[in-house]
Amino acid sequence: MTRMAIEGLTLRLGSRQFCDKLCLDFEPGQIWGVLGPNGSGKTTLLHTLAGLHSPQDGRVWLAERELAQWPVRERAQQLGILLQSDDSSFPAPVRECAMLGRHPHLEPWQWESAEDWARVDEALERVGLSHIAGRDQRLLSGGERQRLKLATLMVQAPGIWLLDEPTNHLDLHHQVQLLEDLTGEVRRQNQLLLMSLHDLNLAARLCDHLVLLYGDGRVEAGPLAELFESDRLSRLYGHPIRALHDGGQCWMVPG
Amino acid sequence: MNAAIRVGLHALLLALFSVHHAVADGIEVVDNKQRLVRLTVPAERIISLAPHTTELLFSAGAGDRVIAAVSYSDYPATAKSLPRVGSYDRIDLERVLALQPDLIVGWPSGNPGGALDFLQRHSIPLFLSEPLSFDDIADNIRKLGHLTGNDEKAELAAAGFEQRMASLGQRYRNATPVRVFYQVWQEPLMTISGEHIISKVLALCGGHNLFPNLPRLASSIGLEAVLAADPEAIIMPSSNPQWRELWRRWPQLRAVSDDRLLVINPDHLSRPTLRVADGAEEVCRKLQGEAE
Amino acid sequence: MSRINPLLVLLLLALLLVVSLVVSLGVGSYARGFADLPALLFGSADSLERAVMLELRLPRALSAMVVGAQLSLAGVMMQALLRNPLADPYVLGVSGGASVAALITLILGFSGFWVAAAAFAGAMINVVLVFGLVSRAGDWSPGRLLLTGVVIASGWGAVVSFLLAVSEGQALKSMLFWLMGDFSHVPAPGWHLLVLLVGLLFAWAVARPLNLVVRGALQAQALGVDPRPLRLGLFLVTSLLTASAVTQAGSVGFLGLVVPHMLRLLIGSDHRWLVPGAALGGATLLLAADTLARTVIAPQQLPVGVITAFLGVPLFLWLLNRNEAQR
Repeated sequence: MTRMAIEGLTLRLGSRQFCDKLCLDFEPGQIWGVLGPNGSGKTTLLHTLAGLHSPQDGRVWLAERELAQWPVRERAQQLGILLQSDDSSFPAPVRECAMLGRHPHLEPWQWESAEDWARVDEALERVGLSHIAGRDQRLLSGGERQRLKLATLMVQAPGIWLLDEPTNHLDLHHQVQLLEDLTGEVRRQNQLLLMSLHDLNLAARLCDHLVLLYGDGRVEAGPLAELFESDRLSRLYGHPIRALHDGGQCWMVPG
Repeated sequence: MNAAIRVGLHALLLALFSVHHAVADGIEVVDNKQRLVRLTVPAERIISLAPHTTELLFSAGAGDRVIAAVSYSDYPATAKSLPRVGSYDRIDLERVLALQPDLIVGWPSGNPGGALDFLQRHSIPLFLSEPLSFDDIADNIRKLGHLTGNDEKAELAAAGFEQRMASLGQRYRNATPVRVFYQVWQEPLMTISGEHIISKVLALCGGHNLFPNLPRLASSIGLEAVLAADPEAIIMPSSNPQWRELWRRWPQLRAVSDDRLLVINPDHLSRPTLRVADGAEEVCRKLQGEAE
Repeated sequence: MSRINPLLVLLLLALLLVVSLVVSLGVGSYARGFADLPALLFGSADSLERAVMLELRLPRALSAMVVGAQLSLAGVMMQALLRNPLADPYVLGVSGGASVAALITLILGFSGFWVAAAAFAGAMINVVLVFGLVSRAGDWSPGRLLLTGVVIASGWGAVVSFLLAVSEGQALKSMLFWLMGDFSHVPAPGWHLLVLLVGLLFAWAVARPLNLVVRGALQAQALGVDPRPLRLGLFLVTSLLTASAVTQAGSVGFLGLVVPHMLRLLIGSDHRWLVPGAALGGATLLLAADTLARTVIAPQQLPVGVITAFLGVPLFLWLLNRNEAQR
């Protein structure tokens, strides 16, 4: 399965430095959580990995080729991203919106097949939107919209999943159920997933690796077990965080 | 007293009382909107708010009393050098007031209603001129002459005009009727209704306006409607060759096959003034195919 | 959003277009029954009736169809380009540039071909201006493009107002007629038909990417569409279509805004259906409007823009209401 790597990556936005000459390898089968306070560069990092943002310096590798060398359509077959903002003022039924995920897999003049529609219906079923498949996307609630974006990504079926704040607008049930479903699937398929999260405990529950962005150029990355400790996370967020232990599980709570 | 004398006397009395009766307490005339215009002394400082009223004032012998006019007041030539108070549809009212006129000659269908109302509110004597017939033209000149103390000169001009028109009417009384399309403008294609003074000129010369019942004096018209009406002559007040080319595309048209695309002097018929007589003579001559 | 099969809608629109064409050819001041149509169209008699048909009604009908299709197509693409459902083909100033140039030639006393040529040149000057300003800034985002275009369009608008203010009489009448859009002097479409075909081909070729572009540049890029060349292409093709339409008939309003929405309500937002649908719908609506414009108060003529609004506004509101009620 495809792997990704970054080499000497430097990211800046205005006067803010997010990372400096960062090198990291992302292996198939891994689930990465990207953590950090607001404005620490989580979105910029994910956009860079998706090829939507050009870094100041350094390279991003997708498989054996540099990301920038990939034709956009082929890249979109390998790699998909859940964006934070995706809105459109134009009317379109939910089912057609989800079908947009199929775009990179279709030839320029090709129409969607029955099999493609079956994928769409399956994805809508997985995110619990089947009952409103015909509704105009403009009428969806925030949470429904977020689930539609997730379904679109499922239809795209990339090997590498980048999720920017996937829990936005989702209720507790959907946060846990949808993301467990997705990460489980990614592990089974030996794929790769990176997601930015604000809920530390959800990150601990779903991820096996972490990237900690301090927002001042310092970055720490590695297995969850090495990084997930209260002192470190307190420094990361600039806020005291305590660890509560409960039957082998460790819970982080704000102090 | 026989009837003829009675009618004549009546007319005389009417004229005396309606126009001349108020010599003692000033000058009074009725304008084209049936308003009474009253002056204590003949007007000395006149502002003309339309090109045709400037021309009429000069014809009435009051050209030297006109102190300002609107743009396009280009006849007679001396009118070109008059100070301007804007255009007929956008009048500089401050300028008008600053010039302290004692008579304003307006054009109700051309000037903005608000401007005319404003002038009336400030009780500046206002004569509204809207000549729709040959008689109106002569009548306008007589009244403007009276308002400026030029009765004799105005009478001479008006009577001369009436006489020319009457002799034209006499001469072409039995002329062959010709179905005419009068083309006012090309894009959009426009013509005149039967109410328009030009239509009356056509009638004088034996011409028959093909679209007498249009709702406005000048209206846009479909090319197809003109083709369907198949005019015997087309009169156009423009020497622009494109105007003739438009019709030459339709060789089946009577006016084209008979070569009766008649170009006339655009200046003579464009305004209801004495030059209508020149225009009428030209139209009659060309319509009836007479040599110059 | 249950709706009718898009293919059925397209077929119905095509049928409606044919009916509109037959009606348009069959009515007019030069009244002739529909029964004579074939003889007049395909006969060989050298009569005035036949000339009216072949040189007046037919070119006019064809032009109305081409302009209607061009404006509606440009509307669809402009709305996608700017990601704004309120955009119309004129929003970036193409018609403004064309108007200024056309009005100046009208003031100078030209007519016909020269006005059309000036209009096209004016439209192209606008394209170069907007393109130059936007590419200097290097920012092809819808916001930047819209702002630049709107400001330039307002500038043109001011010049148009100025030109109208200093003109009077017959020239003014010509200018107002031109501004409202008018078909009474159009020749047969000629090369404008080619522009329409190019526009249609382009729009249809990028129809599926358009579905992505309306969801934003990032989303499009993430799903395998590079938005930058597409945006540039959209800008140039809509400009060309609009310039060609304005050159033929003046700035016929309303159509480019409303036809795309009508078609969205009828057949949805998939541009693969929307593009041909808008072209057919726009052609039909403008042809019907022009037929009415020249017959309703015949022999007088109305500017076609007045009729498109009279027809389009209630039709659009009805569709909108029907759609609200359904969901």
